[in-house]
Amino acid sequence: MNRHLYVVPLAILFCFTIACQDKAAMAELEKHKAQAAVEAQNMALVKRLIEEQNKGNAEIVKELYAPDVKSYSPSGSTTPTSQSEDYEIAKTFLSAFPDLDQTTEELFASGDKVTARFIARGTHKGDFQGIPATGNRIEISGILIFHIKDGKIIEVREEADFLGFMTQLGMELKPKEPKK
Amino acid sequence: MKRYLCIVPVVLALCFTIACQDKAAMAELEKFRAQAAVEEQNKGIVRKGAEEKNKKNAEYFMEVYSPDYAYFYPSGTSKSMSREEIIAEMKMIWEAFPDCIWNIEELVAVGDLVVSRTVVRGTHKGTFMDIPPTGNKFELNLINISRLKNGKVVEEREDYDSLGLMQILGMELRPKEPKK
Repeated sequence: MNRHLYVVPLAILFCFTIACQDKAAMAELEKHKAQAAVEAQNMALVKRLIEEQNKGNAEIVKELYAPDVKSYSPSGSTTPTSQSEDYEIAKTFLSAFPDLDQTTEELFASGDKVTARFIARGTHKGDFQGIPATGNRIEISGILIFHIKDGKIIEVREEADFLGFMTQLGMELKPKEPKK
Repeated sequence: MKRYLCIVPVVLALCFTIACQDKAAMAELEKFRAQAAVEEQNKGIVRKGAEEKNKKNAEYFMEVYSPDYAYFYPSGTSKSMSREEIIAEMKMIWEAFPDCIWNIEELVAVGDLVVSRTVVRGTHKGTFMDIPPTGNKFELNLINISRLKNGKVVEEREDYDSLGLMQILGMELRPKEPKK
């Protein structure tokens, strides 16, 4: 029996060698998996934001946006809005379009960024940017890029078809009239 | 010597088990790596697209857009433009804004999708959508989602601040006048 024993350390050494080689690969795999988990969490957060807004809940902005969030709309704006401004914007929008329904046409995450392509539909039932309720059905599509850190949205960049939207509210583009 | 032989299958079985476990993990890792490689390649294609627009190289887009390419603006429209139509529009933009430069500010890739946030800067030197040249400088913000397949762009969905652009070109929103 004793003669078998020296095979044991040999087998252990062998396994150890394999395990060592794998360590780097496994660490890489774990990193990918960890990132995939964060991405899934971030997407769930954006999904929740949109669902809550569809329920008419503007408060969700206060919950999911970081206190120092910066929102850029248009996406390259030099004057981002703050959390409290975003809350007011959401509230105004939801009172003007109480039946607002945003569908997420595409949602995907890469690292700490989530992109959402949406179509929002609703009925113009309240005052919006000085335009009294028209009762018009509106449809606006847009793309949002969220930057998320530790479960909070720290940056939003948005482009949406505001020209089309304003047209649906009864506005039209005209050459500026010279100031009198 | 014979007594050692019974160890051999045990060691082999052990190695085999470890190898099998690794095989699945390695396959998973390879999948992550392959996806990362495709994403890097796709980002490169989108980045080059901006460079080629800056060089006003229409040929490039005939090559990199697949024959069944479809362009959607606003991003949620059901009416798409073909490769030939979008290249014709590109040429029109190059004529109206001959000094325009596409500058990618943000670029992320997920699977076969690439999101790019771009600022386009230029001067209005030619007629654009019936508006004669104003000489005004503009900055246009844009978010684009490109879908690629085998190194070709098959779909683009885009939103940009067309209202902001039209305002810079001397237009403004006014309530539609009732038809007489």
